[in-house]
Amino acid sequence: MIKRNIPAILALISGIILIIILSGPLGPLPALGTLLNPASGYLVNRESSLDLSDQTLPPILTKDSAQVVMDSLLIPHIYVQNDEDAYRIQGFLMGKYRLWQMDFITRVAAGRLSEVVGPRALAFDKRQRRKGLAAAAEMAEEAWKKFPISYGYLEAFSEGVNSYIRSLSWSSYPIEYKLLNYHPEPWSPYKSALFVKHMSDVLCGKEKDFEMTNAYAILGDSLFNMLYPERIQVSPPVIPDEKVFDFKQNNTLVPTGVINSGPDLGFHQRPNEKKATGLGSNNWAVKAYKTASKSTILANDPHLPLTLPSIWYMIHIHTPEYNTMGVAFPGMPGVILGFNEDIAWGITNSGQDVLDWLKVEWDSTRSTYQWGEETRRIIWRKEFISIKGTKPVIDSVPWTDFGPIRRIETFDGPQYAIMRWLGHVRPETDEVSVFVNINRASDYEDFLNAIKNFNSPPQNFLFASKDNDIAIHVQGRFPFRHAKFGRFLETAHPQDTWHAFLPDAHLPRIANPDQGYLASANQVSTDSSYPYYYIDGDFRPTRAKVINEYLERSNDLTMEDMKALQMNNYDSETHALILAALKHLSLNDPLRTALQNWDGRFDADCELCTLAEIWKNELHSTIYDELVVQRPVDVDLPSTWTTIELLDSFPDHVIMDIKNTDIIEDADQVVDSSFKSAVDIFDSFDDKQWYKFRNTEISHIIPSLRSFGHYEIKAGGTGTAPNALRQDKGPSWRMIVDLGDKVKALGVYPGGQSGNTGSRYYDNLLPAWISGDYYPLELFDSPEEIPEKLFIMKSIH
Amino acid sequence: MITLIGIPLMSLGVWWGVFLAAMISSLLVRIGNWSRVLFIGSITGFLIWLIWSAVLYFDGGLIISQRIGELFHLHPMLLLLFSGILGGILSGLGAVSGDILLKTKESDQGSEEH
Repeated sequence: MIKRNIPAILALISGIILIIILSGPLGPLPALGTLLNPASGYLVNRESSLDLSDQTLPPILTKDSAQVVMDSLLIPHIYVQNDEDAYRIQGFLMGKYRLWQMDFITRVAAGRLSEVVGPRALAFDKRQRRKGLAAAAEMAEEAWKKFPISYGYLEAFSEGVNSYIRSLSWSSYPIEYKLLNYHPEPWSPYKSALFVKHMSDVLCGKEKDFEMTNAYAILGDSLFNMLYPERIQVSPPVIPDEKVFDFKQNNTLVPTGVINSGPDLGFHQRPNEKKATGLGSNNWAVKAYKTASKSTILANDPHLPLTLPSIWYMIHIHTPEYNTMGVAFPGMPGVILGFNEDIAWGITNSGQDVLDWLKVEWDSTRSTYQWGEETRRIIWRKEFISIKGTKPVIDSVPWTDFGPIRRIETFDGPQYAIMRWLGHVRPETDEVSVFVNINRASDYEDFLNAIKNFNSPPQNFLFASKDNDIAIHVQGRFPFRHAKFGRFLETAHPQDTWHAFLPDAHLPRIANPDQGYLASANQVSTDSSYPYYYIDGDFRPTRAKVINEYLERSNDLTMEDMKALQMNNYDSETHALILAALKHLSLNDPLRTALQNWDGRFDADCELCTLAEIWKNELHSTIYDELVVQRPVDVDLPSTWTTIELLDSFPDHVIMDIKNTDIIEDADQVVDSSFKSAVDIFDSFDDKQWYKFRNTEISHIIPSLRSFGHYEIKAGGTGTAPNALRQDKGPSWRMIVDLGDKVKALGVYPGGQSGNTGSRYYDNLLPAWISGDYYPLELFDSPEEIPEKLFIMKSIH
Repeated sequence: MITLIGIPLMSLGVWWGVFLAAMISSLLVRIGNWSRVLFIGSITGFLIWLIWSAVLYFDGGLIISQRIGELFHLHPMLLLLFSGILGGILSGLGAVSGDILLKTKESDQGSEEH
């Protein structure tokens, strides 16, 4: 009997084995059975004509009648009768077009990547958990519940996302779920909080404490102070010099600062990842008298990681109360950067340091730590990390009242420090309401009332209105520090660290300056007359110089001028360095003459730009060889502006000496030597064009999915030019708004509205973004006004 | 039969529904010797998956096919072919399993009657 059945059993077993093998990943390959079958595989993720035909909105989304018109760029124009319906529909649309992105980013924040990609993400997950973003998100969500109206918006948004998730089956999941073989989870306000903490980490999780401590240890006091000035100011600050700060700091709140008299010596490696450079933004606004249209104009281009799907999603929301348009974050309700019928607003990162490291002593059982004279309890938070394909791991993270304790590697063994970060501080204000209220603001007063609740990450909020008001606010919670505290790795002590935040009324701000314009590009917030001490977390001194000079020059500015400024490739920093270095160059080389005539513009096809960039790097490595040889210890080289000053004013300075030679070099020799190296490197490249050297890529959020991204983007720009395009960061959104009688607005971002890689709307905006073109953004008052409707989604009311 | 049972199953996420469908088909319908069953089962599965995939490909599936193809360094058309081959193997194995089970059962019944 069994003998006769053997062929059948063999065929059956072969089939079952094949099914099992193809149901799971095969090494680097995804589950081929689930991916290649036509019923639920990759081809179901195509964009068919059905996807672009008229649809009915799920009844659960709306209480009143509602309509969504998708225009020719797949931008939703949402017409609703109340806020909850607006945010439910926004959630639904973000689910429909960006579900996987939202899911993945919140997994990144929470340290839950191992669940979907396996053990290779474990180290990353542990770091994220130890950084405490999930704990901070839990705290923020709890705090948000105190403001039921705003929390209700988050719930409405979540209902919208979940309504979409419920409509899905495996076959309709975004392709990334199929490739990674997992399922989406319901959305919740907690996930929105995770997204906020992720953005806080991206924008204000950067400091230079370890780099400064190490540089100080290597260089000593006087050389360090010369090479690392606290402020590098080559442009007007965010708040122009004309501002008079007519208040004094409240000394009762300032820590006395008895313990930390200077940086601790010793080499430390940071427990957090070293944040990449290049995040930042530009925004500016000009008063009506400086424009050709005689109406105020505002422009904003935030420089964030460039990914596909894009970090932004364009949206227009029309309710009986307001009519607003701009870009939103997938994961949060409302428009984040945009305009309405009366005002426009834009944001840049403030760059102030809001993260300190406090070295701490703990007892042998690690249950208490020393806080001055006081012994305080440590709470161990258990982090349960699920890992795909293997057993889960439990990680325990020690928490103090001021943040998690992290391990720091030094040459003398490990040390421990509290991560004192603004992102871990419980929000006390209704921060969810900020953008919701900006969206409906009609004047400066409304705007002021909206932004006062903003906590973190601290930003430069720029405002312009039809009333010809312009204003800028450095907004957020800023630590009340005593001078010098927080620049280096410090010692934990109650008399040193910050306990309070600057009062809102004392935050740097200005409205309607005499100069007629305002501009921020991550430069220093104020001049030295500002009564409070703050630290450079990530100030960028250069772009604001070009922008301010450009805006100062003309009283006839147009939207075309604003486009030109956003696309401006002039790098004043590198140009100034090259000119300073050329004065010391003794070598006669055709490239020397070419560089002397170079205009400093980093255009896409420019070859000299590549040489200039290489020479800049070589020059820095040669001058600061004392610091370079210490790597992998975390050290930042001094700024290019410091190098320019050295070349111009201190050519014989001791820092110019190259340590591993028998002679003592000066600027002339260093410049000659670095130029020779630079030319050798430059000559070794077959493709010398700047865009090829810079190699900008707009990759998928999972970079290994290479075919989902774009590479070697042929565009000009560099990190220190207004068009701040780097290898993987740059202008993630360009917006210009002219607040005339009828608002005219333009916008573009490097991506597309759909997160589906099978959609033609996945990356359709990219060519326009590369070539410096923009799309008109219009506040259509009714659905009938929209000229090119792709399809309509209607409620059944 | 394969279409009737396999497609709804596959749409529900049981991607290997075609295996079950082919097995049940050949349990119910006698086709001939096992090599003929294997051939017909494989060809049927191959054609169903290939044609189905091709229809989706030409109904807006070009972009996703190109991206997935590039991911595996394959021409998108090869993906369609692989899809067909996979459907063919599964269907063929399913059909043979069902057929041999049917014949074994019939043979057992014949022996008992004899």
